[in-house]
Amino acid sequence: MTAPMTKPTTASTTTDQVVFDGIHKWYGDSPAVHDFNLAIAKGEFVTLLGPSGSGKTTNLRILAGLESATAGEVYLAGRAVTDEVPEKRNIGLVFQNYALFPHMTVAQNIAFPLRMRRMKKDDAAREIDRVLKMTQLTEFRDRYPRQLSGGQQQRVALARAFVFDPSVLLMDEPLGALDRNLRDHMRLELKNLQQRIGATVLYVTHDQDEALALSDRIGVMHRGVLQQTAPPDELYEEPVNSFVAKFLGQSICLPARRVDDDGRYTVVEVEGMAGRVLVDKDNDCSADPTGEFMIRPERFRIGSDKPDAAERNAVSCTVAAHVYLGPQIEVHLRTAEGAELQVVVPSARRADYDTGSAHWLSWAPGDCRFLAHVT
Amino acid sequence: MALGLPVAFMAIVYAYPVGAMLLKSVTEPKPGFGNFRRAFTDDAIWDVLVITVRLSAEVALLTVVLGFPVAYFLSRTSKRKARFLVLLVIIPFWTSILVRSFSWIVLLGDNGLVTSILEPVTGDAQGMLYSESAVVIAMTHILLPFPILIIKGTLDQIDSSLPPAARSLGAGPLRAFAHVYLPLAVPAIVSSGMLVFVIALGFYVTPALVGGPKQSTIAVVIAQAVQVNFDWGMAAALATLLLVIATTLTMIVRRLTKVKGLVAL
Repeated sequence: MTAPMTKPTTASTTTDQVVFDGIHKWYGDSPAVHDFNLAIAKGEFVTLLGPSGSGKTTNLRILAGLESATAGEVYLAGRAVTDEVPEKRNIGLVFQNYALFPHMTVAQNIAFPLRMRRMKKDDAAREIDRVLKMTQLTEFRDRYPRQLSGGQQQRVALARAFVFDPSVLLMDEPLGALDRNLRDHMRLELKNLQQRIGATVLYVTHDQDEALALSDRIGVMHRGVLQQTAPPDELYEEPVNSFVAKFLGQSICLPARRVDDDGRYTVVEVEGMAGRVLVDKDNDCSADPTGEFMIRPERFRIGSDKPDAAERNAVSCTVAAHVYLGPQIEVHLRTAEGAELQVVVPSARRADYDTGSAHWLSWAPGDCRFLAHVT
Repeated sequence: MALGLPVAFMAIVYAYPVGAMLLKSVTEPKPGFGNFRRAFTDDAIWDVLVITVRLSAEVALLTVVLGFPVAYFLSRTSKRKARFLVLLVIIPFWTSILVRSFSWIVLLGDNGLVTSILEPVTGDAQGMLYSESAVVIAMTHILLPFPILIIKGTLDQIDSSLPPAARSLGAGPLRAFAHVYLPLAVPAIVSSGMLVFVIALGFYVTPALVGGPKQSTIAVVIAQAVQVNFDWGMAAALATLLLVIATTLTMIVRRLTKVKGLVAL
């Protein structure tokens, strides 16, 4: 099984709101985006998630027309816009630093896209009042951006980006400049607003919590390549390679080799573990015989006695360290062969996990995965 | 206490000479407003004042018009290139005004470089030296670095995502520039223009060397009053007049630009 990077068909270009078709982008000799394909349905909230420099912002700028693709086509509401200037694309763009016009008031900022479209004064005033109300900015309409808090500025940027009813809203780390508490609050507001106006959204972030909380689907990007696109739960439960597994949530990844295949299970040898490990055939995502054994810490069962054979996979280890996290403790264990594993247990039971104490970890073949190695 | 020294320095170097000058204008040769009365009733002095203000306004306008594109280019080019090019702007700045004014005598004179280059167009081998154009050209060249450096400083502060934001909101490149970029540069354009205007008002060497008798500026007349006529009272009165003109015009422009609600960055 490989990453589901199916090319969009011709049919999807007419029904989807946004389609990236085979986008490549080179800066001089270095590739920034490699064969990027993604279709976004009307009303869908899709996030591109990845570390900085992974090419996610480049894709967004290509869709907005602020950068041109080296190869490939971009479609907006069924229309090829690859060669269109940004002002003709009818895209709402929210920048990380908001890019509010400092010499215009809140109302003037929001009026700007309507003015550029030469909308009649009365109609424009009505639209502005409507979005000011939606974003709870009515009382700030005559303030200048510098007189607003970060959260308020963020709302102005948002209001300005959707007041002209764009065919898609693009957001580049829109919450990145806010402090933690405000970010959580704005995240909720953003999701609410998106659902109320039924906007199609392409969102870019490196924050996995944001991506998980907001998105209908997440595309994980790494080194210019889209690694996997899936709904949040599927992405977490069924990562296709070791990069996705490590980038999203906590995971244990150990080098491993496929040694046998009995039809139902893939049998692998894991570095630092005695014996063989069974992995469900469905969880075998590596084309190569070498790859990585992967499991989430919460999938381990921990006990003091050797589990019976029904558990299929078990390994004995000793506690190397533990970290107190409040409700839970994170226990770091080491096998005799040197593999490092961790589990999370309720902190009420922390007395059982003194450093040096011996335990058995066990798990079912369906709890672990064998993944392609991508760093 | 820590303020004492700078305040004393300012008092000695600025307040005292200005005060002494103001005082002289109403005490020499005898107390009263005689010097001002003489200046206001002398048509020649009115002419000189008009010429001085007109020259300074022309130079201020030209330096800003020429300086803005240069500043725009400097703020958009790579940091390394910009540093080198700024140096090219600053080096003439470090050269004496006297030297630069003399070079313009050579360039603009009969059979000078500028004259020979323009000859096929104008059909005239006569230089433009000792004319208002010559003074404006030379002074523009000398004062151009001010607007370039001041405007560049402001343009560098403008958030580079504003023009693309305007584009994404439906503005073409020209409208993005006119509605978003330019308004943010206006304070720097106005203030650098004012600075050049005020400096040009007091210019002495360049008009004296490159201009003819018709391009006598107020500074030239002041020098004459001191060096030829030994009329200290008149010189002080004219200097006071210059100070009043400069201050008044600066205040008016400040007032006007503030009323428009411009934001200083």
